[in-house]
Amino acid sequence: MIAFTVDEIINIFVKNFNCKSLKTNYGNAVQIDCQDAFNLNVLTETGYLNNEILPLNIFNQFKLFNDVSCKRLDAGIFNNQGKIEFSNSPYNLNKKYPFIFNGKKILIPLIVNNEVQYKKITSDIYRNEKNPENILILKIDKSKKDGGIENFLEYLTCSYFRKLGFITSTQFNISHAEGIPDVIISSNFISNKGFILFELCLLRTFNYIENLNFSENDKFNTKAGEAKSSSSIDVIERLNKYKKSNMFDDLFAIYPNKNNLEKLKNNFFNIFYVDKNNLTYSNNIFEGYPDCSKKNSFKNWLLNSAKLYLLANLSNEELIIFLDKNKINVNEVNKFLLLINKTNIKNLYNDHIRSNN
Amino acid sequence: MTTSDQITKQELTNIILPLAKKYNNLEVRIFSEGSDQDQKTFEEGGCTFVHEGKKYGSCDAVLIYKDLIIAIEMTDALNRGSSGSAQIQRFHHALGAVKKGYLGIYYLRHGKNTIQPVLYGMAVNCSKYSAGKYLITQDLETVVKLIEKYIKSKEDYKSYLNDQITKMKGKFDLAFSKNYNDSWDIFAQKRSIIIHKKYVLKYVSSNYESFTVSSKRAGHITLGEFFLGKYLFEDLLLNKKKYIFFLPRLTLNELNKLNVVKNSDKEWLLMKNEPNSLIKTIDDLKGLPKNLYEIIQSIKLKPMTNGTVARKKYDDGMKKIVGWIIKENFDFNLN
Repeated sequence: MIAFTVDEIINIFVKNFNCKSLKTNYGNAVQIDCQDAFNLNVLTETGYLNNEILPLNIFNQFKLFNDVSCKRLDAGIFNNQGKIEFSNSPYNLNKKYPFIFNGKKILIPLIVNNEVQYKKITSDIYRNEKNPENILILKIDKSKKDGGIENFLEYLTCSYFRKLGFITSTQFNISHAEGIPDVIISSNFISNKGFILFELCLLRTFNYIENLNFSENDKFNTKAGEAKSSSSIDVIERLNKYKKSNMFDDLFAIYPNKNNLEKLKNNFFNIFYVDKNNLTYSNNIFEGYPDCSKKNSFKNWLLNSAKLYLLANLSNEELIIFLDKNKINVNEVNKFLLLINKTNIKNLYNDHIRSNN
Repeated sequence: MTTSDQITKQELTNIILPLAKKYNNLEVRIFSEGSDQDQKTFEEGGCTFVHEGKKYGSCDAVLIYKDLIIAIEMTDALNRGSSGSAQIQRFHHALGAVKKGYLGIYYLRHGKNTIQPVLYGMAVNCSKYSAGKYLITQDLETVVKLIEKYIKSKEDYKSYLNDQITKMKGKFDLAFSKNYNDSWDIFAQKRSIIIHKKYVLKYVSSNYESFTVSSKRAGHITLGEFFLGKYLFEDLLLNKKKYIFFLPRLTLNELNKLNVVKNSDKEWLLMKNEPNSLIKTIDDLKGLPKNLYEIIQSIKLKPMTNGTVARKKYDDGMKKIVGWIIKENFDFNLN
């Protein structure tokens, strides 16, 4: 059973993110900003129809650290081929796919029976539209359990808390033993505007965040959430696992509806859900005992990630200049990570990013 | 879903696009990562090949131009700290297509690690003794060149393909000479292999849990090692000798149990049903001295992490067991 109809998805965008609904030859759609479209592209399998074979999708490719210890980089923003260079940085993406960063985009939610039908429809759109690269398809696949909408729910959660001014991110690997919460939320000590963590590397390509003001003295608050595409799938065991990490001030489930509201409340957890197309967060009392040092390690991960994302505004040539200035060879990845760890984020931003904008 | 697959699929898409635009009848099967379409059989529109009733691993892409069918498996494993097993474990993905007479390509994206030269040797032998051909490459342009040459002239295509296979052989031979002094005996010693006049035996440390606990992901690795032993020895491919895949940390009872619980497991069935091959356990070593049997039994459930006491015990124990098999000229029941 798929949680949303096409029109419900459109209404979610209209009601919660001030988007405009549209009618297209391929069904109802919604017009969204290029940055929102990009965020959707990075956080879900929603692709730009820039070709007929495989819509361009950067899902999961903006990764940084392997886990909270910040000792190892995963392939993602950085190439991770034994030397320090960008792979999927926005600068490189802008060179290859400039359409991503300009104009309004059309998002068409498409409920399909299978991949073959999806391929046929996207192929038709690609062949018949003048600028297909400005169209994104949000695929809900009926052949997958509950339509495979978990990532979309993560996107909605991130966008909701982003709008409220928080820092958000997805797929945070605490450690192999402690698990990977689907969504994390933290209080914002970096900007006046809420943002998804990777958006810090988009300062040059989008104008969403214009300036950063660091206010590290504010109380640091953390949340983590686990998404499921159906309320029939229980997350309490998983939330209890995250609770043991003592890293979070609040833990919550992410569901397409409020069916589990009472159950979560009784277990002292919160819930993010969609109610009559409105994105909603419960205000249950969380019963956990976050540990200061564990929260600090989370904050350290957040800061290091923020610094690397900020650095990822640069081109590879500018990155080499940065490394030269700090006497680091391109193959000295560990030395580079140590430098990032000890560098003050404000100085990094003022000296290397703002000055290069 | 892995980032690796997303990266390589996008890479192949970008490389193949101009060709797909030029040739309308070039069918490109690359599916988004969330989809399970690639797990459907080739005949059903997917990227999985079935040969003699056996289903091989699904490929990341299939390209079809008239009679030319290319199955492509891709990985970014060289960037992810894989110096060995993660490279080998994907070998069987394109193998199904090769067995069916098509072209299988295993693309390993350039990275900080280098390709294990044995992969080249395996692919060369696979090309020699299978209906199709098998290429290992680090350059996706090879795929474009192959299709272009096929369209231009089949002779050009064959010649280019043979050149690629010759180059792979050169890489394997060079490494074999450098690392093993051109000696299969040295190779056997270093790679947990016994070369007997009637059989070639390869042993690995996988135990019952390796196949039944999914978080260990060891079934995939074991299958890679299985094919490594099988495809490097021409005598096995020519049926001159029997291939014995020896799992010393498994008992006969456990093997029988696996045959029941894994009776629909693709990877287990590939090993179990591979022609001219037998899976043997410690219980098959009739007459093995009790003390040697007990060494292995004492660490049969321990993790085999390098540097641990259990690993050292396993290595020492296996050295003695191998010595015993050779000294006794042990004859397995090869039926």
